[in-house]
Amino acid sequence: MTDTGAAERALDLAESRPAPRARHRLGRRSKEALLAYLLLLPAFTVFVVFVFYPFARNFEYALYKTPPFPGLPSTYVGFDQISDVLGSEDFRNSVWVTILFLLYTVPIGIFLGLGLAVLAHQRLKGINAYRTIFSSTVATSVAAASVIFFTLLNPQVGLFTYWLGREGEISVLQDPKTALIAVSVTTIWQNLGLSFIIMSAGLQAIPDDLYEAARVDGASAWRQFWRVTVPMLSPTIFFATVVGGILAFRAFGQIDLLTEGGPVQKTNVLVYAIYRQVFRNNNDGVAAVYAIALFTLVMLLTFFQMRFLERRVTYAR
Amino acid sequence: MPADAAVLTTGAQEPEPLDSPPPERDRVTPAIRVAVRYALLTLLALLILFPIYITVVNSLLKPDQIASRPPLLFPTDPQWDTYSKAWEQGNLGRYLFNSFVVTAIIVVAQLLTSIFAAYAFAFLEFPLKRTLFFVFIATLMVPFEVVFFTNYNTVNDLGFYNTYAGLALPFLATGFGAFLVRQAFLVTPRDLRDAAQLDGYGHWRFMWRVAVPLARPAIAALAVFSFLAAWGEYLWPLIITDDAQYRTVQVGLRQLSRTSIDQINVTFAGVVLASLPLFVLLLVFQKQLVRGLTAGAVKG
Amino acid sequence: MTKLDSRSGSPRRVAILATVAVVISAALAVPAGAGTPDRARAQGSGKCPVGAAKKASGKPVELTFWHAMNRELETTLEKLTDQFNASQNDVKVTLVNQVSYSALFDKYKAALGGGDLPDLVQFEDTALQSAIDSQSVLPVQACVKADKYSLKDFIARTIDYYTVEGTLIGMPFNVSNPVLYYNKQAFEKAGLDPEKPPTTLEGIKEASQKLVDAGVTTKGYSIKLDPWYLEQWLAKAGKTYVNKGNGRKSRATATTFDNATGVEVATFLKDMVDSGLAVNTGKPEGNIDNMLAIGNDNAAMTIDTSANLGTVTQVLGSGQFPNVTIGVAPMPGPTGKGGVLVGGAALYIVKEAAKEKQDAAWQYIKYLVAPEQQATWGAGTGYVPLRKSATKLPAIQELWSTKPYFKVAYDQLVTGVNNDATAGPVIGPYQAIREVVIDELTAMLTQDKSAKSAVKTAAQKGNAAIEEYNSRVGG
Repeated sequence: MTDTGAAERALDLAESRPAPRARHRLGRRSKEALLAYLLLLPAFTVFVVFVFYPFARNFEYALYKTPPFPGLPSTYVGFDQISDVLGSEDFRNSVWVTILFLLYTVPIGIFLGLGLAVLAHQRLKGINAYRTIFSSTVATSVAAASVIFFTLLNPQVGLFTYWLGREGEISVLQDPKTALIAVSVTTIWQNLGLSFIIMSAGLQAIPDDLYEAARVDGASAWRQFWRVTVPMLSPTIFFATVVGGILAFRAFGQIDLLTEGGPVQKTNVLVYAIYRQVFRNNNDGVAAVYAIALFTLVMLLTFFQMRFLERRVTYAR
Repeated sequence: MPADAAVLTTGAQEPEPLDSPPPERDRVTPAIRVAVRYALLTLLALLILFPIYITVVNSLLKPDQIASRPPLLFPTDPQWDTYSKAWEQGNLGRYLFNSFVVTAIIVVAQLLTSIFAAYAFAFLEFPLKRTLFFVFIATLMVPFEVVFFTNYNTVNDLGFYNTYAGLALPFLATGFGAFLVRQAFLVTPRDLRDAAQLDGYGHWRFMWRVAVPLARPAIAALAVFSFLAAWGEYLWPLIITDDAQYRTVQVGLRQLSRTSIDQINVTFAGVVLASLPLFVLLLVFQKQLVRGLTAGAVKG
Repeated sequence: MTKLDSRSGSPRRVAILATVAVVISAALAVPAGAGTPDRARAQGSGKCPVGAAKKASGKPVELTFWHAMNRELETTLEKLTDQFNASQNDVKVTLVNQVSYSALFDKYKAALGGGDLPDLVQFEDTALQSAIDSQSVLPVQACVKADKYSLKDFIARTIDYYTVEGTLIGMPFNVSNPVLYYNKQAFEKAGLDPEKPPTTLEGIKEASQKLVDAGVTTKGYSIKLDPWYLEQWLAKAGKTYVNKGNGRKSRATATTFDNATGVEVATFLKDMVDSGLAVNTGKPEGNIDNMLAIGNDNAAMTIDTSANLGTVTQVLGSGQFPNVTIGVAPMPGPTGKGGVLVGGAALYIVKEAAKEKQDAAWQYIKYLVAPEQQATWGAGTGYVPLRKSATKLPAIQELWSTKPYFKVAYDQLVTGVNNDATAGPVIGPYQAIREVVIDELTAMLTQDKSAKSAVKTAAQKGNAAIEEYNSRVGG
């Protein structure tokens, strides 16, 4: 009910009390709404143009066969293209490779991050130096990490090649048996810093009195770990799994720099396949089908994780 | 040991170590236990640090030294000129500049759009508020890689191929940012809001004088997070530029990695140079970094 | 938490609004066919406006030329271009280096979708059908006809390569072909005649066996898994790669390499690797690992493009590898009524360019392929001089007498039979086929696939790729 002047009236703050007033001045309400829409407009515009529109457009692309060169017309083929692509060996290979990549990188990444965090969680002299080192890979970009590993895996002079006893043989990155593993190792290493930081933060947040209580009850370090640490960390682990899964589905840079989808398509994850279809073959139609599939898989993964994993998460009281 | 070296905490107190077992179980002397722990820590640290270490070492070796077996793990005759070669051949000066410009644009834009949107959601009432909020959250469900090639067509058609604008456009706003800042805004004490209202603060003033300063940790965290994401972006700059004038350093690394074998030390030097800015920045802004990366992880 | 987080908030309303958003967005999308051209593809008269540059009002006519020549190749090209610009007032050529053929082609495709096209481009050999299907190039034949230009002095196979259905599409410019690189020192040590390197697949095998037995090298031969091995060896045996006269009589619809020769080639590679006589150094992509294998005494022979002569002599002669004396010989392969294929790249005139620029391009092309310039070009780069008369000029004569290994590539092109097989395959989805072949050969060499099944699968997948491409081209 405070009114300090006409100008102020126009810019008064909203009454955000739970019980709305019975009578509102239309002017104030709509001015507030207008302000809100204006504030939301920039972000919303970006979202419409660069998220929703292209998402919808995928569905349109999927119904057309695009010519090998831009500038020539597309032909409508309806669902034929979609069913052709979904049934094609290339597509199924990409899905499988992507899932495999996820299985290789996410669990190990979390496990290692957790292990490092636990180890670095001790009160030892100089522990902070170790913590810095453990988080250091967060400062490497995907590209930098990939170039490092690419060069270290050079079949003629690479150090890792030498240590693996493969000097003079076909490159690890060109061998269908090892290429995906090499890409996964690079990814795990590069993500280690992030994983460590997340797990560490989770560990820090566990109240000491829980450990105290456990110790008083006579629990060993191992027991404390399973009875206190893991349950209290479960939200963090859950978060890391969900985020890690999504990131794994989005992987591109390391594949482009290490293997370019090969050898024999063994590292042709979905995103890379999309890239190739668009920029090598100008095949927007096929790429769109892949993109929709990618989205669906991400949704499914997240949904299942929410549904089944979240049950086992114990949230703080 | 550099005891005062970067401390990575979220401000929580240093916890008791997990290694105080009940006395009756203790067979091994504490000294050995501690030694074992240090050994394990050191081993892991060496393993993790090794690729970075060997990159720096190799950047200072001669090509035949890199190829020598058994391998040389320390530069006895440092070739400092590889760095100037990498800088020139790899055109790193230009690429780093481009990366900085684009990243700056994206970070500033994301901060602004997130603050604006968060303010609307946190402090204003308007029709369709809940719906619009869900729309914002919905954007988080669509990974960039699902829509990147349509965005390529869009940006290309708009004429922004090979431009800073084109490099930044799809990333000017993020639902995550809006969400993060909104969380922080919601915690603004009610009495502050009432006081500001009494003092006749308009929304703009309130936003910048009260809400934002109070939300500074979250906003700083968002800034670091945005910076990391924008700096490391690889796919988009790869497809939306092909002119060296606008290439970012991540894509420049690709070019560097394909140089010939007698230039392998230059490649390594290039990687070091390209990574330095990030290392420095993260060293300075660790706290914000941790907060930014863990937003959502700890609270659950 | 505020009321916004209540999960009971009307999800129905959300769903409706979300759908509306999506639908609106879709409606905003360009209707009537995704990818309709932003600019109507200039059909043009298909005629070459010879003389338009001279008559142009704004002289000199600015010509933008996209190429992919690097290092010494670029230097020589620049030299020739400067000479051209200085020699006349009608045309001024601006060189734009696009770094690699694939980057150039990608950029060109992007420009086709609504960007700035150049006036003259250099496309690599395999892009021939793509160039035609893009409907964006003016066949050089039109200019040859309009200008009454004689192609007699050219090495026949180079013109044949770029001629489809009787029309010369692009003008060959930088021509290379694969040659045998071998280490003469290693040969001597193993008791082989360094002046008589192998000429057949059997010969490679025998020589490798001797090298390995004598302990001179770990393996005898290093394989660079380039797909053109299959193409070249089939051509050498006189066999086509695709049907319809290797794609030259009409558009190819299927592969033809799944035959005895194809299997022979694959079996050779597999046997060599399995019996430890060859090392597979993997996919090309600018790597020279097969050369390094020679440098490291892992092998003593490899087949690679003559265009690499400069790089090879530089790297292996840099003093880093004192155990190597490089020898160059014609590419060994299966015997038959065939010969080596033309490799390299050609020049294409862009149809959309203005008339005077098209003529400007033609004048520049004529300059570049004149005997004098071809002599300079060949001497400066190692590419094969296209004009037979150029080989009599001092630049080439000097090159060949001081560095006789540069003559090998030329000799290979003028010997053998000129037929559909040696004219080379014309395939739309060339890169796709090459990928399929590499994949199958890799599987064969690393995953115990039999040569026969590898070739068969490659053919099947190749056929599928051709069908898909043809269906998208509407032809």
